Amino acid sequence: MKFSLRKNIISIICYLYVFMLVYAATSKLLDFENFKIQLGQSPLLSSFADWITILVPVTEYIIASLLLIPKFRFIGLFTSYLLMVLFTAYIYIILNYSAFVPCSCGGILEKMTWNQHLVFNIIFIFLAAFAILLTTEHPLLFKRKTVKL
Amino acid sequence: MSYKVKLFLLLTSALIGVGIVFYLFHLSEEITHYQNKFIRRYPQHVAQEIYQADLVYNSFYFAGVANGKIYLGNYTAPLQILALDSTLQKRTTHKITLTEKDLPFASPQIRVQGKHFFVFEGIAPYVFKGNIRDWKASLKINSGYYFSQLKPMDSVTMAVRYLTPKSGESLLGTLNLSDISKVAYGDHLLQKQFDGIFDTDGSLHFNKELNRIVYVYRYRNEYIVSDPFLQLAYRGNTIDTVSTAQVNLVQKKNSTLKTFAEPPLVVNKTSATAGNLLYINSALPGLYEDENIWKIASIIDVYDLTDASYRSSFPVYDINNKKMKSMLVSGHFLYALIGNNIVCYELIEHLSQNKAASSYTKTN
Repeated sequence: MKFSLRKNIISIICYLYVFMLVYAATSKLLDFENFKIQLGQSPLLSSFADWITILVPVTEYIIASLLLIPKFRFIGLFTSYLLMVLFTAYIYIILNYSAFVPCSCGGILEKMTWNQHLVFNIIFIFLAAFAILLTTEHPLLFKRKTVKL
Repeated sequence: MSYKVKLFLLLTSALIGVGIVFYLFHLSEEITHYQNKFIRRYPQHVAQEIYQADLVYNSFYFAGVANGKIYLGNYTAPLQILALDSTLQKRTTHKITLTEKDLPFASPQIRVQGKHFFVFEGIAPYVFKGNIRDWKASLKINSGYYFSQLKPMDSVTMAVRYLTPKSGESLLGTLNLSDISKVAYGDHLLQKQFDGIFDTDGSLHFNKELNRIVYVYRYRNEYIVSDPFLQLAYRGNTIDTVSTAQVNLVQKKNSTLKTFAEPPLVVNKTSATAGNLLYINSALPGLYEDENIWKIASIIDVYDLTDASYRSSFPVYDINNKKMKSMLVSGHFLYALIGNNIVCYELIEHLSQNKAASSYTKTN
């Protein structure tokens, strides 16, 4: 694959993620009280709702900014991937193991059923994994190696 | 980094992540059911209203449920009993006749248990017993301690909340209608916090299926489960955090009467029990709850008496801005008196929250 094409694909995936993360975090903060109630009603998180309500949007913003800074893009992609994996595992548990299926998420995702959400998440996981595998630029973590090479 | 390293990183981190989420899920379930820190769980559609009827008057109370009928007593017509079929449509009124009529009657109450019914008044005290075939009752008990609540356990033994003579403190006990000498008191069951009257106030129940006496404190987060011989099985806690009754009393001048110095903090308003479950109408909103629901409904918390765990909560909606006064649960049906109305809610097994929701949708 051509380098520029690769770069473009990775950029598109990153911007998709940035858009989604910023949207998700902002919609949570705009309706913070409601978000807290929804998390309190979540079968998996209710007991930890206090700190998770802050942790989730903050993490989303941090990851979004990592993706926007070229230096940290690889770490950004990797953490986005992890976040989506965790979220997908959460949905999977709700659908299959939980005695209690709560209402829904906020924003546009509100219109989705849990199963559609699962598919949506898996697509995003694959996108992030794809971008990570495409990355040839050497990530910050391995900068010293780069110099040696 | 090579593809291999990247793939390895992606896969292992995904596995660890999934493992963490699974672990959190188990931890959260454990906390919710056994160490709940006052976070309610509201599963959807576990309790749905299926019947409603207008009783015209608001003076009814639950006398019992038996033979597929719901029996209602009436405070303003104490010797009348209204029988409703389970759909609340068919009504029959019965008139009770008592064999002895020269007792100090003030406000007799009725309980129905199987084929029998009981007419009693704790501050006389007296207990009549009769058969629902003819609604005629004869005097069985006319002496002993005063009592304030009575729940029949079978046709001759009653769970009773007595008043200790002089001090007036509450005391759980039992009463045998065929043998007065078989009175028993469970002195250790109610635990006094400051006066033994208000702090131990609550409601007395008998759970037929489990053969247990259940007492739910009104002003603290505790319920007591004991066997019919008044041996303590365990003390359970409701999910709120009020472990000490918050009741302030003042002595009235020139009187021995005490009154509230400020409105007391009610924790558990009314309760009912059936099957393995205990249903408590709580007065306290928990964490992360929509306050609006409390304005239009009474919230019922469900506990499993077999392992003292919290299961879930559901609302019983107000009618004409009137809150639920009392409730009765029989099998899968919850009956509630609200203003002049009686409603029937169907309870879905799912409210005990002990199976994955997906197992229900799969069988449907």
